[in-house]
Amino acid sequence: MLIRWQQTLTTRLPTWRWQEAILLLFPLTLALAGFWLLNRLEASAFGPRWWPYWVFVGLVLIGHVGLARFNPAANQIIYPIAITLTTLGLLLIERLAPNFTLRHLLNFGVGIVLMVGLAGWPHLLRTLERYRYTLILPGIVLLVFTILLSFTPLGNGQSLFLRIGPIGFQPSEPLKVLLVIFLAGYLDFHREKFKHIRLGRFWRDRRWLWVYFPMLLMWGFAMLLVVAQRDLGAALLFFGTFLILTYLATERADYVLIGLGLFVAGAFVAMNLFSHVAVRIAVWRDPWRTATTTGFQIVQALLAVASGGILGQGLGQGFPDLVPVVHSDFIFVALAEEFGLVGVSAVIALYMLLLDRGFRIARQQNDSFHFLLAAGLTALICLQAFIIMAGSVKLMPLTGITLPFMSYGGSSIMTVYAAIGILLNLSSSSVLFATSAQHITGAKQA
Amino acid sequence: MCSLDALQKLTLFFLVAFFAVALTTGYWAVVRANDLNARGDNLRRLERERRVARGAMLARDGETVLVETVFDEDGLARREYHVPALAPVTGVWSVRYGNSGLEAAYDEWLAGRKGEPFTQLLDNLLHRPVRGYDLVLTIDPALQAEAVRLLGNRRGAVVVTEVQTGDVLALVSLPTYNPNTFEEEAEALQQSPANPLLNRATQGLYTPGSVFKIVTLAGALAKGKTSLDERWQDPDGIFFVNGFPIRDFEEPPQDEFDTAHALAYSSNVVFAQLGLRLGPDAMRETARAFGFEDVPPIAIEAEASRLGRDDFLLDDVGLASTAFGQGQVQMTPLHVNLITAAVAHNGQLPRPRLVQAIQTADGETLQRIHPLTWKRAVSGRVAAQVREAMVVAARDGYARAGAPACTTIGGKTGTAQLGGTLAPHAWFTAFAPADAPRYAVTVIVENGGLGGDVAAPIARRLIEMLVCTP
Repeated sequence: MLIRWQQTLTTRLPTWRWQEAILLLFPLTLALAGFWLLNRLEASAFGPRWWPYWVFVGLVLIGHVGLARFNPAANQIIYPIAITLTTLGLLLIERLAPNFTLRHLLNFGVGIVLMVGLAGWPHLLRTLERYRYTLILPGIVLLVFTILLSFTPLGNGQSLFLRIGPIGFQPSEPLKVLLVIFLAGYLDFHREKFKHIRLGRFWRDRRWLWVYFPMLLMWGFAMLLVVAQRDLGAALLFFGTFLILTYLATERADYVLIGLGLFVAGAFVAMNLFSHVAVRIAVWRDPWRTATTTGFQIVQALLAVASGGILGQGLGQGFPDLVPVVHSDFIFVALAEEFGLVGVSAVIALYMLLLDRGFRIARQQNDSFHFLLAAGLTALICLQAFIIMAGSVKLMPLTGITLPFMSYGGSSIMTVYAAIGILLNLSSSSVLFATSAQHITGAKQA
Repeated sequence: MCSLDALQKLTLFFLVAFFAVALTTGYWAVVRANDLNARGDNLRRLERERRVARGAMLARDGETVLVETVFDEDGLARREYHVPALAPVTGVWSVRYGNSGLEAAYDEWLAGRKGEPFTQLLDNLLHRPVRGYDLVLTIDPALQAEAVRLLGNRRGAVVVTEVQTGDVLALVSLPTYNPNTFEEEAEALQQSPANPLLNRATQGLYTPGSVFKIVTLAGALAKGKTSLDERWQDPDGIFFVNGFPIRDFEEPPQDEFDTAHALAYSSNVVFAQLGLRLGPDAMRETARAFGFEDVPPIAIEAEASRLGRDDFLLDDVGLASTAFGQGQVQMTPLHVNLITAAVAHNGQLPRPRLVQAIQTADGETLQRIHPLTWKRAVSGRVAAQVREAMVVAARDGYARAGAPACTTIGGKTGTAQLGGTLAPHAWFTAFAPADAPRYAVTVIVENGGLGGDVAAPIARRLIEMLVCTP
């Protein structure tokens, strides 16, 4: 009887995403409380204002209704997690850089539309699979732009930022997602080959070229970024994502170790050849000595974390604005100062939860391309979060990348919501599979 | 052994990585927090400091406000010093240049950082605006103002204390600075040749001249080297030590007199002999008992008085000139005042007290600072004898100039010769009233001339104000 009831519940497509709706109440209440506090404290230079809150609520509801309309079977946990993180980010941006709030909300809106579109497009996965190699073409264009931008004064070299008229654009952001799609396709196609290569017979069995040629390419690209962008962050993110996907496809640790060895060796050589890389490393090792010059940013960041303590100063009551670019790359530090260790732990827990849900979706896939895609996108987001968080607290050398979902940065928030859209699409394709599987097991048990 | 698949291993990797981030954040936010928050270059500390309602400083009566905090429209604190001439005592609160005086000594209380731990935790959690604690000083602003007026535009210092408690009633150092405009003028003040930032009363080291004879006399009496009624012959006003002539600054009116009158007429001839009788060791021992080579335990910045190098005292000429306050002896006006207080009060140097109580903004006393003795210089018997000699000096001697008509005092003038063409420092130190001393008053006028002519009238007026006005 119970099993029958379960079957009817799971086999019927849900009419409304109630779980998601209830979970969304939490971030919306958080945003309400946050805006009430900010308006009461008059922390923002623009004075008390409520419209950003209503715009935010409207956009969140558009996303929710859009998902319910176009892909009701998609995972219901991921969207609320993303919105909770974005809520914290929005509150901090409204408090730190209120002149950016409108732009941030617009970027977020575009991100929501991208997410709903990608999640609701029924042919998305087939299209991606069909054009998995063709997709690399726009990717190469973006890559060329990324590298060119690093060298030419066309963009601001360090931030990899391209400006065409009024629209600012960071080509390295969408490149990350395209790279994951391409690598998932490539590795899926060659995975059997990679699994059985024996490195001992490298001359007679030359299939290793299929692994090491792309690895060397990726490595070269990463090194180019290290040198040109004066920053390990983006390079580490690209190369790390590549290694993670290779590992997932082949389940061979030796590739990862060799890749890491290459990266460390390359970074070491770059450190000796290029002074700006050496400066980065020196600042990381002892920022206190240069607290007023090169180490200023990280020292201010650590002072902000220290000021936050366990419970934080409270939203709008600390001084995170003393840290340079706090609303973008260093939003984690603002979080630490105003929400304390408790808030930091909560945000880390949210990323872990996202990782868990993403990997669950990956595990549900019956196609290895889909598996690699889901796991790759999840790992990409979490790796990016880890690199910038670790950089902000001096666990790793400092890097200039954004914190996914939270930081101000148009390309970043659009890209990350697009990735979430693909993940949601994958989750619904697997739900159909999962329900049918459950149907079979249920029938067996009955 | 349970084997993990690739996805599980990757999850484990992220778990460890995120845990490491949380641990590192905890390290900075909890373990290193105090150390980082206290860093001098931490702008947060300064920002917060500028928003604290720093405690006020009240006068001796507990009502008159000497220093208070006002806020401008941006919510930034500004200190208002209602008695600018009190700068040597209050010091100045300056975020840019650092605090000084009582602002530095009682910074933790004034800024509200000290106090009940539980209340502090609650204040911190609820972000209650911090209100620092108030200080009740021992300063009498009327007396301070009068002393400043009397000194006028001359350089010098005035210290007035209560002999029993060590309460500092007035502490003047001129020229000084205006703490209200300190931050704007700091550069000029630091370079000014008049050295207005030096607290002359507690940090200024001056040759004491005849004022030091109090110490020599006390030492000689304590060691039994003389008695008050010993007769001395001094017909010429000159005495030779190893062929080096020692002269009286002014020849005494009589050729023969007792030890008490030797102090009264400030006879260098007699005191050079007393010093030689004492010897270098006993001289240094006496000086140490009177607090030489030891920083007086006052809350604000102070210097220790110096007697001179050992080899200088071993030489008889050096010892003799030390005995009447020349040579290498250097004293702060505060220390001269404390010695006077010791003579007036059983031979005990009081611990100078500037703050009598710390209280909340509602006037609730949080902590009372009790008067204490700094050290015992000489026995009560010897102190009584020196007191008698000083009363004689103020009755018959040059210290007459400092005695007001309404009361009797004990006093000692000093005219510290500096060599060269510099005019001597004019000293006067006294206690009043003579029979039951309550106040010690010390005046120095830098390069002022004769102690009896220049410094004594200032002290007389202050004693009148203290003792004679009801």
